[in-house]
Amino acid sequence: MKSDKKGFALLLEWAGKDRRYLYASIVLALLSSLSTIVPYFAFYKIIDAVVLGTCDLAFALKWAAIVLIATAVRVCCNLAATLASHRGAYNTLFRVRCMVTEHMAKMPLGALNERSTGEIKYVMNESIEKLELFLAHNLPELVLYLSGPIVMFLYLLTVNAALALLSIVPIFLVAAVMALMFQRFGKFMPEVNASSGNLSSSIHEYVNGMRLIKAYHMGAQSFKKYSSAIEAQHRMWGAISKATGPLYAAYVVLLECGILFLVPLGGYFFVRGSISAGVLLLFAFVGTQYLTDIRPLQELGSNLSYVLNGVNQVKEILETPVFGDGRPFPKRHDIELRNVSFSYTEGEPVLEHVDLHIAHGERVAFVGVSGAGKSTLVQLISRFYDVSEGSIAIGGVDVKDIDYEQLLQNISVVFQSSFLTRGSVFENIAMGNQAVTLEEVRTAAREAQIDGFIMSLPDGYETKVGSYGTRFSGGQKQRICIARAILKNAPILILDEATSAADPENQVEIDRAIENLCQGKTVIIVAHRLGIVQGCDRIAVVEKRGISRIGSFDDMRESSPYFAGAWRDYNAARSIRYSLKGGKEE
Amino acid sequence: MNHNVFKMGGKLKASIAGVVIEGLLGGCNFLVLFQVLHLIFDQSIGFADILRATGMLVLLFALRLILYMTAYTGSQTGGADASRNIRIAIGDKLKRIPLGLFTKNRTGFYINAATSEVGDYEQILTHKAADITKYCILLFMVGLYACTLSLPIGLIVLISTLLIIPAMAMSIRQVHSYGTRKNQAREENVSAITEYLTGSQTLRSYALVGAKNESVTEAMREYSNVSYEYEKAILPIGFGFVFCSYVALAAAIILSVQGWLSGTLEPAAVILLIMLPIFVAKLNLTLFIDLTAYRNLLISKKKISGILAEEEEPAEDASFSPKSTEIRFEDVDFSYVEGEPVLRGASFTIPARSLTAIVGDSGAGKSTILNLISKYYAPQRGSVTIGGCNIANAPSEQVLSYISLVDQDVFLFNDTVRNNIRYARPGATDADIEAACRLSNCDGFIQAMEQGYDTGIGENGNRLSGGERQRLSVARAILKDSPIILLDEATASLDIENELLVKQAVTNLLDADKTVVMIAHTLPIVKHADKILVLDGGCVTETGTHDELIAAGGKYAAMWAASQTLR
Repeated sequence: MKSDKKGFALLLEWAGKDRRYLYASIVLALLSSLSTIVPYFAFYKIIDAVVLGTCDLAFALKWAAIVLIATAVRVCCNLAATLASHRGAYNTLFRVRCMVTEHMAKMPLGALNERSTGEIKYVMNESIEKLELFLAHNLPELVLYLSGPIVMFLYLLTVNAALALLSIVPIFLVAAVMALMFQRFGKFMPEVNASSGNLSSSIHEYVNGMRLIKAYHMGAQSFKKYSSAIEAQHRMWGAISKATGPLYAAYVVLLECGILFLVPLGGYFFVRGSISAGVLLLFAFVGTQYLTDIRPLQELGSNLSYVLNGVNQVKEILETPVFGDGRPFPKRHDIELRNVSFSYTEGEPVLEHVDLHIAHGERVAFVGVSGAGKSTLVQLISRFYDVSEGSIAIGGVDVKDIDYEQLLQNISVVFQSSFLTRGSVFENIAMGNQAVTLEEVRTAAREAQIDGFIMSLPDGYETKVGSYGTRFSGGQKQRICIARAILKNAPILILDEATSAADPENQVEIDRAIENLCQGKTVIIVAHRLGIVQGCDRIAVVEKRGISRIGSFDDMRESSPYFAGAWRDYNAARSIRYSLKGGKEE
Repeated sequence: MNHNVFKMGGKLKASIAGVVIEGLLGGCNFLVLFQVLHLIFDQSIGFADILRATGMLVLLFALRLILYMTAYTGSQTGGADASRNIRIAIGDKLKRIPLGLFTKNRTGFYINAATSEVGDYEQILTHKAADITKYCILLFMVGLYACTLSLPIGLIVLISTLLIIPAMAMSIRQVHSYGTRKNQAREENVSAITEYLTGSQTLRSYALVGAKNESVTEAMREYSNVSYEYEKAILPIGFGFVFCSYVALAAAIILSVQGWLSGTLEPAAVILLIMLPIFVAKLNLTLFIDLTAYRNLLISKKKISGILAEEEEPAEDASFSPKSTEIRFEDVDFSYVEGEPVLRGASFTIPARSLTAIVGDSGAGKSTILNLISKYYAPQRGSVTIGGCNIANAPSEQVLSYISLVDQDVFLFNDTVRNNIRYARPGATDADIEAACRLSNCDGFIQAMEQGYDTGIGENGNRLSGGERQRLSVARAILKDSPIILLDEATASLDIENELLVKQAVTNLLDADKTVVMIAHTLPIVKHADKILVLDGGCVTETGTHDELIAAGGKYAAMWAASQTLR
């Protein structure tokens, strides 16, 4: 979704066909504000009639009826405007949320790493919600607050031009006051940002660290730190209030200062006989009040920047480049890395000139210290990111040329953290595949060593994960994920930290499930538990930004110093037995 | 000491009084205009009268300006004072409440309360309280004044204002019934989005994305619709109320003209009696909007007072002086979520000066036992004692002074590495700290940081790996040297090079003087423990040494057999 538009124009573009609600809201708001002048007009007419002595009951009834009708029109239009703007706003919010979920579906997985997941979540829940403020409230309010006084001013102009012009003098006064206020506030801005950042991090530390604070008896000390951040912020707001408070107060009162000019000048005109008593009173009363309607505009200004902020955050996500269509996924599944280099940030290469060929159906393990680039290598194969240099091909086709959707669907990744949706166990294994039968799901679950457990649940495969999820153990969740992958039967399989943190009996079953999953596939294992590498065809050591050595298990113990050392450490760690005289090895 | 923190300070009260007087002075403009009206209808008005009236208006205006500038600024600083007092009261309270309340959701709630909820409440003090009082008094005075001119019209005007009571009542009822639905839809929306994001990679590999993912699209659509329903239910009330105010104006027009025609009202009064309802109608709307906002802001006050009313931990208990470090669980029931018990009548003893291991399936409640000993949570039934003293009767600080907890969940303060470790024993010298770090295998990675031990860490501590965090935790425990050590051995999730380093570090922590309770995720490592507790179905089903348990041929023996087949 590319658009040259910015800010509110872009927001209106997002509104799509729901713009009609927004336009309707504007028109209705305009109608509503036109009818606000009727009561004042009635007031003026009646005063004139009273002064001239021509007012009778019929006249009063007529104007009372007009006031009622006009108010009914005003209230109905205003209500309709507000409802329309809310309908349009909520529809737009829904549409923008859909745009983000759709866009996410095409974004490179690398752009969706954990950090940006948090950001996108914020945008989906918070930033998009901000748009409602503008669409549902500010848009019609802007029309109401502005058009009401403008219509009134135009009407007053027709009554008496000189007095009408005088009635807007307060605008210039308050504008000057506001300018001064913003200027003074602006000087505090750096301090405001620093202080609120400090306050928030102090509060976070105090609350999140409470367990440790108590464990180390730091109550008094930490509380002092907490309260000094609060005191600092308090001192700053005190100073800001003293500097800007009087100006804001002056702004509020000065908006009503028109009466100070209108009464003497109007009175002068009246005494001279150039205007009627009705006109004098109209200006003395209405002319001093109607400007106060623009008071909320001041708040609107800060709202708008808040909304714009939201628009820009959404825009940023929608403009993240996406990977697109391409050729179908190849039939052969050997993987070829040629002269691959990659860096997340320019100048800090993670991988340099890596060559690797994984044969169709081969099982390869990557080992190496954490941070050496094992995970990066598998992420490049499943195209989380594009390589900076060189190429990666599956079945002879460059991954960049393969349809991204198909690429993702043909590579199964089994992680340590198991993702389950809130749907039923059946849905979690079938994952949207309408054609699959219960028997097929059960077969997969049997291979994943989890069918027995699922059948023992009261609702069997219809058990909702959402309500039962907390009672599934980590190992059970993992096996449900494995069942899902077995059913999907993607030809390439990546195991990343797939085995850990389970109890021994669970672990035995998980190992068996994974063994079943690996049958007949091209498998890459990111090995953290060295035990698993013995069952692999080849082991690749990832170090010094490349693959230093690759070979069979026995081969590597002889020829790779890293692997030999790691194998030794691994076995040393496994043989430690704790006891109170200190640990000992067996 | 906290209960009256909401009480308004003298400065705020004075400011509110100032704002109210300013409003009433504004109302006095009508009195001046009334005088002018009289003169107009007496046909005796001259320019001098106009100037006198202007002089009065200028005087009123100048007074208002000065009064409001003072009062408004006073309310701002008074509000800031109140915010500070409340934040400090919250902070003071937080250190008194049981640690069990600091769950992940709850801490977010506390942080939010101390930051934005206090900010919202300040709004009540700085804006709403003064404005609402001002409008109420002003509306009442204007109504009374109208009554002196014409009783029926005055009453109508007063009633038009009083209608705000049923209007607010209706609005509150609607907010209540529709608000609950809206909150549910919002929560559903948030969790659907969270699921979509966290499972993004999996969902994409099954093409369950965008519009094809009905679950998330449906939740978003429902939220959109319910939000609209909510507005539709609430908006008409306010507009209906506004309409009633103008019905009062129409009635005033008719009645005042009638009064004039029948000679009971003079012309000046007629004009004023039409002018006042227009003024009142406008104020009624403003008051309604302010009251609605006030009501929304009151939610913040409720949340804050909820925290301040939270049950506190027992005070320092002089009788809490354990004779030994033997830990006993007696008939302990515990659940994190009601209806999902984790421990059910668990009873067992952890002997002093020995190594006790807890084993069991994942999710069996092993970590819960450590959480209960360290008072992170309190049992719903039964008791936990240390050396015969019930830990429920002492504050966390006192209990935790006997305990070091070593796990992967290391909290780092926004401070240097050195100070972060020193917190464990404030009197420790730099040499002590470095010695502890060497014993815990931390020295190497700390030295490798830009400024070694003086590197600032904290929020950016997430650069540390899980293994490094565990070792820092061990360093703190070595330095603290407490008699009880609780160990959550999560090395199974560590990479190869860290596993050995962490295990060596732990080995250096253990010595014969300590009472050690450890959770074992792999069995061989605790083979030599003095006592092994097997946790199954919420209670301890087997206890004994490794050999005894193997001989018994129960759950432990089965687990051991399974672990032997693992590579």
